[in-house]
Amino acid sequence: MYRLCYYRFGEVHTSHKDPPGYDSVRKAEIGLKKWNLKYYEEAYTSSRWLVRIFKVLPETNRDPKMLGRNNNSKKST
Amino acid sequence: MSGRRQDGSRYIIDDYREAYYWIKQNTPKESKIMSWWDYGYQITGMSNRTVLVDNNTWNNTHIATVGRALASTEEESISIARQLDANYVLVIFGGMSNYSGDDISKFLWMVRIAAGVFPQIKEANYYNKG
Repeated sequence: MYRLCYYRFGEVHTSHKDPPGYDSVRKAEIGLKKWNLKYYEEAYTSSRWLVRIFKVLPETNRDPKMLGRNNNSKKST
Repeated sequence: MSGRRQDGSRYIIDDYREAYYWIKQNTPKESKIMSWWDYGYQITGMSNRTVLVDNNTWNNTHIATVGRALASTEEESISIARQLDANYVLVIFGGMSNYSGDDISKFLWMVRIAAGVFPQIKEANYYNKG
């Protein structure tokens, strides 16, 4: 949940005197400023960032572990 | 929602309404939304979408499961979200607008309620040292 709340927060200033990613409620600057989400995708953030909605991404069709096997089978044909 | 600035002037934050309207207009009708239970009735009422947990709190296991998802890492939470068949996750974040009643403030309750059903969730693990 923290990763969703603070996603991209490191890019913005809450006030001109504070560093980017400064949480005005907790009165602290977030430690990690940038990360990518792997399983969620930002769908909507309200104008004052109060409500943030993320899409639950569907499972990928291919298991990365299977990719090697497919290559092997190609070799044998 | 309204408040007062330090100089006494009034401001209005319309984000809840804005967001619930966005859901109504931009998500498929059959979408299911995962959020902390507090916003359940607001979402069903204003967005006309299905929620996983709402202000009818009789099913404590459901609430604990959502609490567990919100208190877990991205990897762990996604498997819970998919298992519950959620299409969207909604969080309330006040760090930008200085709104203190957000999900981060409620975080310990998510942990506590999750711990009541799932013994592997331990409140002490969420505390800072010292």
